Amino acid sequence: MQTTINFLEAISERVGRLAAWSTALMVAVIFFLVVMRYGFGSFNQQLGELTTYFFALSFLFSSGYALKHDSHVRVDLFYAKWSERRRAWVDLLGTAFFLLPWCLVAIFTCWKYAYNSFKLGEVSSQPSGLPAVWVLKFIILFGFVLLLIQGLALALRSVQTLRQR
Amino acid sequence: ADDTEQVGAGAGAKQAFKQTFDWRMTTVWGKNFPVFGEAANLLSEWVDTMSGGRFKIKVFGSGELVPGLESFDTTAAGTTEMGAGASYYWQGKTPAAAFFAAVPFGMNGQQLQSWLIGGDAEGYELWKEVYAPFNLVPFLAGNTGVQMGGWFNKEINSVADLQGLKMRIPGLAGKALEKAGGASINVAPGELYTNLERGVIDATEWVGPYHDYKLGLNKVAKYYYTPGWHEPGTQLEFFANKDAHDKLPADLKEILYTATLRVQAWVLAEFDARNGEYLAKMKAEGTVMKEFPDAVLSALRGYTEEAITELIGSDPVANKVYASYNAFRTKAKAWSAITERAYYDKIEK
Amino acid sequence: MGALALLLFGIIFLLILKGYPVAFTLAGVSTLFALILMVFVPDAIGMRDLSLLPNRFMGTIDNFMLMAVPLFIFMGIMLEKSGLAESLLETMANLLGRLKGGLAISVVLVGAMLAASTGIVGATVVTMGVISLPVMLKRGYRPELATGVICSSGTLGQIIPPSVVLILLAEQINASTQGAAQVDVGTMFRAAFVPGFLLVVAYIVYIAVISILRPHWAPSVSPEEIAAFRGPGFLGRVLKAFVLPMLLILAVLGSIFAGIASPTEAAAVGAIGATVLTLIEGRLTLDILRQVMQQTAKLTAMVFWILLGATTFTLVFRTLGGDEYLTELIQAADLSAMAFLAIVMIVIFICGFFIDFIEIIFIFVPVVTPIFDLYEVDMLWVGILMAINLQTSFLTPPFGFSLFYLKGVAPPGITTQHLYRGIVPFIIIQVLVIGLIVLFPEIIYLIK
Ligand code: NA
Ligand code: NA
Repeated sequence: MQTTINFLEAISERVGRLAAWSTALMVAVIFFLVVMRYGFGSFNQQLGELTTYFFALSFLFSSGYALKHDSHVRVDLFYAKWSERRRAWVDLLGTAFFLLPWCLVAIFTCWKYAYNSFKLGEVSSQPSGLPAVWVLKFIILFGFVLLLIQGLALALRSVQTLRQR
Repeated sequence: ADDTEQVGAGAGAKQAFKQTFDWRMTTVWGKNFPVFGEAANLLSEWVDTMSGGRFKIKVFGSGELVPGLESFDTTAAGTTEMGAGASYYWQGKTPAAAFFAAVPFGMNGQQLQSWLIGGDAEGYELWKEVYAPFNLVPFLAGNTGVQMGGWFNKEINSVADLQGLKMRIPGLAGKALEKAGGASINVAPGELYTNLERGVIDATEWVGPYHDYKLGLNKVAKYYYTPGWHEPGTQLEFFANKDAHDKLPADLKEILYTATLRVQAWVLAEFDARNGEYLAKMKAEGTVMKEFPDAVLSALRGYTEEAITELIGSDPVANKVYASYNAFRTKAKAWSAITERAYYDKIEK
Repeated sequence: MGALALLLFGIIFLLILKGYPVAFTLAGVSTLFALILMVFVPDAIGMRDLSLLPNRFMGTIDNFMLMAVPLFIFMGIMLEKSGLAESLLETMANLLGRLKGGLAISVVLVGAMLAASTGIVGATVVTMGVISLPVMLKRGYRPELATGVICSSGTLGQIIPPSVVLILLAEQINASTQGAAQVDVGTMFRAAFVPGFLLVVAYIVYIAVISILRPHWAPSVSPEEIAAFRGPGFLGRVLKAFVLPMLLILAVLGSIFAGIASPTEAAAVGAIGATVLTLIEGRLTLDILRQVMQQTAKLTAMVFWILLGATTFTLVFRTLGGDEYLTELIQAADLSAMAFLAIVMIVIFICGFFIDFIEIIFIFVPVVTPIFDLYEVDMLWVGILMAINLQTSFLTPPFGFSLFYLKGVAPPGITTQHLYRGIVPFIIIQVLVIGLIVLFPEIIYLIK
C-alpha cells in the first residue's frame, strides 16, 4: 500500500511543482501585453488568449498538489480537536462519498465536453486567435483526474492510519 | 369498424393535444438584456400563448444555467433544447457561421433577411446545412439594423489615424483593423467602461444609442462615429436541438417558427424606435457626432476582404456559403441603389 | 422540489462542520445528493443536468477578471519574501506608535489601497493575509483582532471602485429596468465611494477604541522601541521602509489611473514590481522563486476549487428549483417597499453563504428590480445596499468565503474559532453602515 501511496503522491507533487510555474508565465505574458499595447499600440490576440490557458493550469493542475499539502481549507471547529483516528475517518469517508462521486461525474462529463471539441477541431472564435480551443477543455478534465489521484492517496493514507493500533 | 377507427384516431389526436413540452433556452446575453434578452422572453411568452400552454420555453440569461457562450454546446448536446445568440460567435466551430450574423461592409438587415427567407430562401437552407452537423436547427431572431461605428477618444481623420489605434472590436472587423495597423484589444465586459474611461483603449464599438447610453459610454468617450461598417445589420438567431425539435408535433413546430418570425419583426422595430429616442437624448446631453472619412472606410473594406479570404481559406462549406452570400448581395445592391439609396438621397434629405 | 433544494442546503451546512475540505464537501454532497435523487425522484434531476458542469467550469476559467487572484497572490507572497512588507508595516506601526492599534490601522489602510486596484475578494484577502497576519501575530496581537481586521479590509475591494460587484450590479439593474432608472457603471462607482470610505473610517475608529479599552489585544510599540526608532537615522529608516513599497503601490494604482493597464492587468504589473523589489533587496534566488511559485499554486488552487465547488452546488440547487423557491418567496409577499427591501436583503445575505456573489447577482437582481421599479424605489440606492450586503455575506460565519480564504493562509495556530470570534465586531460595523445608508440615502449622492 505504501508503494501505491508514494506513486500516487509523486504524480501530484511533480505535476504540481511543474504547473506552479504557469503563474509566472501568466505574469510575464500579461506584462508583455501591457507594454506592447501602451508603448507600441499593438496587441497579439494569440498571446492574449494564451493567458487564459496559463490561468487554467495555475489552479487546475495544482488540485492534487494542494490536497497533498492539505491546502484546501477545512472548517476545523471540531476537526482540529479530534484524535488522529477520527480525523482519518473524516478523510476516508469524505473522499469516498464527496470527492470521489464529484470527480467521477466531472471526469465523465468533461471527457464528453473536451472530446467533442477535439473531434470538431474547435479553434478560437476570433480570426487571429489560437488554433486549438479543445486543449483548454482537456485541462479541466486533467485537473479532475489529478484531484482523483491524490484523493485515492489520501484515502489509502487514512486506511493506514486506521489500521495502526 | 369505421367508428372505432375514428374514435381511436380522435383519442390519439387528443393525447397528442394533451402532451406538453418543457424546454430550456440559454441565451448569450444577460437576463432581460434590452431587446436581445427581451426577445427571448417574448418568444417564450408567445409560444406559450399560441400553444395554449402546451409548449413552455424557460429562458435562462447568460451565467444563470451556463455562461452565455456555452449555449451552442449545451444545445448541440441536448442538455438544453434551445439557445439564442448570433452565429458569428460560433466561427471557431465552423468558419461558415461568420456569414449568418454580420459581415463587415456586407448586407444590411433588410438584404440579409431577403437572402435568408426571401426568394428561394437560399440563405436559410445553407444555414440549416451549416448547423446540421451540430444537430441544431437555426431560426431567425431579429436584426439590430445598422449599428453605430463606436465611441472614440481619438479623432479618425485619415487612414494614418488607424495606426496604433487601440479599439475593442472583435471578429473579422478586428482582423481588418489589425491589418490597418491598429490593435483589436480583448476587453473583459466588466472592464470595458473603466478601460475606455482611463484610456487603456482609445475606442470601442458596442451597439447603438439605446444600449450605448445604458452602459454610459457617452460619459467616457468624446466622439460617436458613424456608420457601423463592422456590423451593418446584425442578424440574431435562435437554435433548437434537432432531436427535441423533431419530437414536436407539426402544429407546435409551426407555432415555434411563426413566433420566431414575429420576434424577427419586433426586434428591428424596437431597435429603430429606441435608437431614435436615445439618439435625441444623447445629442441633447452633448454627444459629438462624427463620420468616418471615405478613405478610411475604403481602406478598411480592402482589409476586410483579405480577412474574409483568409477565414474561408480551404473550408468548402464556408466557400459555398460566401459565394451564395456574394451573388445575392450583388443583385440586392443594384436594387437598393435605385430604391433605398434614392429614397435617402432624394426624398429624405 | 424547492424543499429538496433547501434540504441540500441544510445537509451541507451540517456536513461542512465535519472538517473535510470545504470545496469538496460543497461539490461532493451536491453531486451525491443529485445521484441519489436520480434513483428515487427521477423527475427532480438527471444526468443531463449534471452534464452542464463542464460548461459552468468553463465560466470560471473564461473569466478574465478572476485572473487577478493568482496574480495578486504571487505579488503578496513575493512581497512577503522581500521583507519589505514587514518593514513597511512595522515602520507604520512605529510612526503611529503612540496611537494604540497602529499596526492594525496600517493594515486597514494598505487594504483600502489594494481595494482600489481590484474587486476580487479572494485576491485581496489572501494577499493581505500573507503579508500582514504574521507581522501582527509577531507583535502580540490577539488572533481574533488580527484576523478580523484582515478579513474585513480584504473585502473592501468589493465596495471601493473599481469593483466587479458594482459593475455587475449596474449592468443587471440596467438590463432589468425600463428606461427611467439610469444606473450606469460610472454613477454606481461614484455612489459607492462615500460608503466605502465610511467603512474604512469605521474600522479604524473601532480599532482605535478597542485598543484603548483592551490594551493587550493590540499591544502598542514599547516606548524604548519608539525611542530607538526615533533616534539617529530616523528619516533614513522611514524613507527606506516607505520608498520601495510605495513605488510598488504607485505602479499598481498608477498604471490603472494613467490608463496603462486594466485593473486585472495591474495585478501583473504589481507581481513584476514585487519581483524587482525582491531583487533590489538582494533576496531573489532561484530557491525563493520556486517557493513563491509553489505557495502561489497552493493558494490559488485553494481559492478556485472552492469556486468550482460552489458552482457545482449552485447547479444542483437551481435545477431543484431552489432559486425559484426563494424568488417566489420574495415575490409572493405583498409588502411595503421597506419590508420588501428587508426580505431581499436577508435572502441575498443567506445565499451569500454558499453561492458565489456573481451568481447571486444573476439570480436575484433581474427578479427584484422590476418590483423595486413598481415601488418607485431609487435603484442606485438599492444597488449600493446590495453591494455592501454582499460584501458582508463574505464575512459572515459559519461560511463566509473571506473567512475560508484567510483560514487557507493562516498559520496552524489560528483556528476557525479565532476567525469567527474576530469577525463579529466588523459585521456589526457593516450592519451599522447599511443602517446609516438606509436612513440617509443622500450619503450616496455626496459625490456627484
Ligand atoms: Na456591435
Ligand atoms: Na475595488
